[in-house]
Amino acid sequence: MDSEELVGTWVAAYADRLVRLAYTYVRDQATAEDRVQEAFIRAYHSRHQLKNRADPFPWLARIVINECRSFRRGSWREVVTADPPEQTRDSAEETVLSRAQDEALHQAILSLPDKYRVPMVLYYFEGLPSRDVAHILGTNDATIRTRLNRGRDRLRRLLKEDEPHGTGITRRETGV
Amino acid sequence: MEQELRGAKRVYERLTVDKEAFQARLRQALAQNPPAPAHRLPGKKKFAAIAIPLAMVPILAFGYTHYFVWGGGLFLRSSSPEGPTSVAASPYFVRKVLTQPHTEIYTLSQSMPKAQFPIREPGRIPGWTKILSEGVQLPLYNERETANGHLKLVRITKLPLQYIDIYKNARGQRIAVTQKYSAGMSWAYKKYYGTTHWSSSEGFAFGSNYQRLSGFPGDMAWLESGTWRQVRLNVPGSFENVVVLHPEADRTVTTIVVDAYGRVSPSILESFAHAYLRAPVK
Repeated sequence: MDSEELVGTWVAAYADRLVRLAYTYVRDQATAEDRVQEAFIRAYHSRHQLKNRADPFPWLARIVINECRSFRRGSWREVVTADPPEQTRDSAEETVLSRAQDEALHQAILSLPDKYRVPMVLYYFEGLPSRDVAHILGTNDATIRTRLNRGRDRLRRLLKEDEPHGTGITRRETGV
Repeated sequence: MEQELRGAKRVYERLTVDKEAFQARLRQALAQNPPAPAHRLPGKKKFAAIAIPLAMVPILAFGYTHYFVWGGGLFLRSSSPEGPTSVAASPYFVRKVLTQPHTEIYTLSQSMPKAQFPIREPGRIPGWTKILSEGVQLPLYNERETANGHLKLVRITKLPLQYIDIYKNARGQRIAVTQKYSAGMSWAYKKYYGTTHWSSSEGFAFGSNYQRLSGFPGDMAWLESGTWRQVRLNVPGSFENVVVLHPEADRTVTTIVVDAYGRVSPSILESFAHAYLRAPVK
């Protein structure tokens, strides 16, 4: 596979998923795309280190996470945490109420600390087994399961706290 | 909760990328920073010349594949496991390198029989005081991939000896001169001896960061310059160093790297390289 083909395959198969993952760190789509571009360049340069060629997503995800962490260490500024951009069409089944609940939960997940948020995103949203999540984050399976449990508990508490106030855009200090 | 998380997943998946534009941008970025050819080391053995690479950025350059930074020093790593070449000789870097576990230090007389190249030691260089002169064998960590995909350290061997001299002047500037045998360049020199490969810049990405130096007849010599930011190190300022590939009488190639800590004019770096090339071979 030549270089153009390899990059094309990665973009087609993984760009959406990796940008979503980066978004949970940087909370801005353009910035997330920039981080994933950098990660792809790094990945391409060290492609000989890829062990599981049949499924490069965990390897790429790890590079994206490292890229986002390095980026966040670079400077501090305040950013607005907001939901991802709206799609132009909604499915017919979705009601306004359920969408609001989904968005509230999504927002609550984004507000979790890294140690709970990233395992939840990889496990629930990306559908990776806990063992793969552990590998990506450089820890063990039991730790990930514990973090998933605690993350769910935190989510329940967050959603309960939010009930009387509703949801919306919140401002928080983040290391971007 | 599981059901609710599926709903949140739908929100998560709303974010999509314009793949055509994304890919065009990525291709442009890759074209501006083309990678060195990927290399696979024999079998499943992996080599790491140091323990903690903090940053690793590939560049297109003659024979080299990676820059990486460790202990405040910038290294070039070649595609063959010959070991790092120091590029920035900050006091911290020198201390870190020379005191890391498993590093062997030798005097000049001890180094001579171990070196695969003739060690050159010029006499006094006006305005500069030699503060270190040592042969160094850095550890090479040999790792093997285990069944679960992790790397396991199997043994520690030694890299070929390099000889390092460090000088300082009254203004606190430092210059480090590293001499080492280059197996890759020796192979290339023998293979292409008498052809145009050696005398031309073919295969070398000379550009704004690489300037071929004409004052080294018979050698391949260049000035590398750039900002730390260009090698993705978030440090202000820039670096410059002179690299000379010098064929010996037996057609092996010695690499001499002259690099500076603190701003030193490129002409001074060149004069150091000339002083070393003129020095008698012991």
